[in-house]
Amino acid sequence: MRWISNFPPPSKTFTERTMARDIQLIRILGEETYNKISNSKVLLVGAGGIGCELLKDLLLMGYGEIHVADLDTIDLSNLNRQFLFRQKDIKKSKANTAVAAVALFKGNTRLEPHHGNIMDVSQFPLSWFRQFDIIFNALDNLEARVYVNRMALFINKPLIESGTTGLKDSAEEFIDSVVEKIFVEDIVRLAKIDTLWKTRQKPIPLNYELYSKKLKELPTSIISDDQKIWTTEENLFVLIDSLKRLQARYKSEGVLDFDKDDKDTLDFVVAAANLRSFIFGIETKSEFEIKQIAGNIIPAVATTNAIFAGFSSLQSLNVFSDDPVGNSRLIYDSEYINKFVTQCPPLPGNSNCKACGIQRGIITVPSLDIQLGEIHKQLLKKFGYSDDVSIVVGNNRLIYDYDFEDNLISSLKDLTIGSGSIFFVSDSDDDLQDIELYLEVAPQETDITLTDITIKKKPLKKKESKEEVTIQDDQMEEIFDEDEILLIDEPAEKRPLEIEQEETYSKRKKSTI
Amino acid sequence: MSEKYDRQLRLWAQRGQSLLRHSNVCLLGATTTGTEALKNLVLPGCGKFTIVDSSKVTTSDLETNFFLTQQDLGSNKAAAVVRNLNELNPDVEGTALDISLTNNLVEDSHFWSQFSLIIIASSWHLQKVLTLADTLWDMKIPLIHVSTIGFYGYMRIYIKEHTITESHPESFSDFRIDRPWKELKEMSDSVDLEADDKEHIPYLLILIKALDRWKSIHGKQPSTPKEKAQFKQSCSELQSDLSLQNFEEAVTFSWRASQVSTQVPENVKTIINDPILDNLSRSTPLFWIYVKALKLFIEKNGQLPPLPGVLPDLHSSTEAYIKLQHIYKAKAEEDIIEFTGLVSQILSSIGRDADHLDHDSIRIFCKNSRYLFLQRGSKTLIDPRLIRELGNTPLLSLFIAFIATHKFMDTHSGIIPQESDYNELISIVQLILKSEKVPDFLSDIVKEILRSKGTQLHNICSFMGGIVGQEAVKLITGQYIPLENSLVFDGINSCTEKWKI
Repeated sequence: MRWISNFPPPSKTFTERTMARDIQLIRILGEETYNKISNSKVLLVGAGGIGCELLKDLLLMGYGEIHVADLDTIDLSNLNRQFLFRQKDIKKSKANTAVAAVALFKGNTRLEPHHGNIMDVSQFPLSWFRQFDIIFNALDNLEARVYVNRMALFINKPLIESGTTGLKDSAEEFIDSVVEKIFVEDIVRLAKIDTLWKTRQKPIPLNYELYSKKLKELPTSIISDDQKIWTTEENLFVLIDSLKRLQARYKSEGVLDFDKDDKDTLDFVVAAANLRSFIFGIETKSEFEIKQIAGNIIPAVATTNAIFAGFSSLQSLNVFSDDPVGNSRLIYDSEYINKFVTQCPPLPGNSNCKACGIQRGIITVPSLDIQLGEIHKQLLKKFGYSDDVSIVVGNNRLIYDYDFEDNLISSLKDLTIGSGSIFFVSDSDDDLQDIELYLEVAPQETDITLTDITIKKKPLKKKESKEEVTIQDDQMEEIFDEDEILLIDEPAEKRPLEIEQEETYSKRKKSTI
Repeated sequence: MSEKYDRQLRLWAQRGQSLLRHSNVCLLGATTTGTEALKNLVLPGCGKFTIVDSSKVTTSDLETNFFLTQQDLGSNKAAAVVRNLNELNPDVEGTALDISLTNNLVEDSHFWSQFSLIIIASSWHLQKVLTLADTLWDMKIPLIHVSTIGFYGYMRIYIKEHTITESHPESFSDFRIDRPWKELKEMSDSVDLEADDKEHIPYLLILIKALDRWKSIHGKQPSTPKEKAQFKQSCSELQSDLSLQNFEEAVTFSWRASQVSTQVPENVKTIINDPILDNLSRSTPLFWIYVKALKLFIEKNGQLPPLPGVLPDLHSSTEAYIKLQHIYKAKAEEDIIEFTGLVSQILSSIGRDADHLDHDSIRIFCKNSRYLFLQRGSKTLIDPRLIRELGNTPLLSLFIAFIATHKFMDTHSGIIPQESDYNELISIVQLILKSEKVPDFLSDIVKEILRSKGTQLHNICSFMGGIVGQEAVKLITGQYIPLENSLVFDGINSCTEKWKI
């Protein structure tokens, strides 16, 4: 009953001078909380399934100003749940369309759409994030989630995260068999290498002549039947047809990337994969199934979005309570027989975590002509490192450590470091904890300034737990890479990445025993 | 068409979508919660919907209902909501009925028979809800009652019987390690755990061999926790090099060797022993015909149901994997053929068409034969057993407070209880509890309900609408396991609780 005591009944005069539409909100939330909400400015990142629901919920919760950011455009397959969009809106900006769609209902709320990538520092520098009181994440990808989380941590603003997910991609074996377009010559050559086939079935090259005779009889409608498991000649038909389409596009568009929603590329991948499977005696699949595997599709429905957007906006009320952190909850769907969802208080920070185990600050420089050496000097002076540091920019670009001093005399500009770059600074003595610094350019300043933070000492830990940190990084990379398809010619061999992972995995196993 | 619904077809496939497309959902009460629930059915493409409501749109509706605008003010609420929901999906056809829910209407089984599911979204008319549940009972049409007050939500599903073939289990774990058929046994016999390429042996085969050895010593499968631990130990001793993934998998999944293939889960046992099987007729649903075939199949096959024929992800050479997959698939196909024969026998024995079988549904049934579910509901409002548990489950208080509020509104023609009604509401609670003693946490909830004066908070309505939509999709598609059968939501503490009544 935490909130009841927080929400005193509204005074009569207040109710009278407020718009009629908010009577119920004031009654249930109380005048004070209602006022705080209607004076709050919030950012909603993502206008997809959860985003549409959340925008509606936040609007009807009476938020004063809502900014919506999304880089995506509307696709036909969004319409089964993203209820602010119609057929006529396909290809339009999600952020702009969503804001226009709710214009009728907005009451006193000010709305502002931003069509762009939230990770684009020129459109959305850290200073831009500062204007918001609460940030809501309704994103579909981990990379952007992690990024917004970091921004929220840099400026110490509450972030409310939500997400729904369905099936996992479990068909590794199949992706391994997705190969390039040669089904006859390469196979004949491969089949000749007897050592390869000692322990496995020899591939059978495609009898192109036999199938090509039948191709003329096939109706083009087969291409649109994505539920059917195509026969060999149907696959060949689709392959040839999609290649023609891709060829024509290549002339005008240049190199084409695979996109699950690009029917031409999808047809090619499906047909090629199926033909290759046929040659190697692997089960073939329908275009519908392959789209899920190759495109890493996550099933999505209106109902789960409604449920979890509901939780997300409800949780935002905690920001206005006496104890925002203590009252906040993590909410999951539940496997318990008597529960629909389970919830728990936020977990304490983990010192090994890249997001919460790191202290953050901001470096402000007057211009990008500053040399890296000056920043390096300031870092050592300000934070009291015993010896030296190493500096990594972005995800993994090492720009300085004790035996790599070449860059010290280069300017930031020459190093292509700009406003919004993130410096990851580690103590060479391994004594102080790693920190992250966000670079801002402020021409009105004359000197380099660094946020006042006291860097804690690293906790003493065993060597093994350090390995676990690297494993987390590896896994992170693997997740970031998941949209790429590796074209590998040898299905039985493991990809180097997998082998590496297995090694670290077994290391971890041993370290936990 | 399939492109628009792509993301959900991955959950319930064309079969589910087709059932959804042919469904007709009725909403009684165009409240915010009801509208949100319907929105969640219109978007994924339910075929038709009808809204029954004779009230007019008021300013308080505009405060909370996203699908009503200023220009709808004063017009019939059912018509206004239908107009706005119709825009969401051109594949769906909505109808508004400007009529009130009279006693005659709730008893008119002819009227209700056109619908596949009925949602009543209102805090009053409790008696009508119960009468309607009664009318719908033998027609086996599900009724969902949902209501929201302030931060609180309540939902109850009334249905006589609901059968589920596709419950979508996490995995189909029937590998017959204890009962390998001829081809599987031959393959496991042909592998050598000491051979040079031992790291390519699928762990299922390792377990079959390990279990064989165990049985030759102990005479039976490991069954007690101690035996299972010993068996696991024996698996880890098969290979000194623990870095071999397949041997590690054999240790991790050693419990699969103690699964008894001839044991079917309790839910399936109950279903195959249902008395309905003794009275199959021309109108018996196909599900029960298949259940009868399953019963015969199990009897004829040494207590083994049809094999799903699905392999788990495992470490193996591609060659061995494909060979093993082929063995499992071939056995599953063999079982399907035998099962189909039984279905056609049963159908002809009761004078039904045995020539045009739905082979797709037979395949799906065979694959899922260990995961069948049968739900039988009830028409009672509250179970005395629950009242006894009041002290242990705080959210039961919310459930009881909701019922008391519904009863209050029923006796006061829909008037929302005010703070001055505290004593009357508490006396209704006492009647439900059959006790003078009302626990403090229950009277606190009653106070919060009174404080909110029937306020609708869009957020809570949208949340409950999400849950109702979700359960409605499960009931309509006959896939996934619907919630049984009552739920309350406390939006103050963000928690839910559900009970079967």
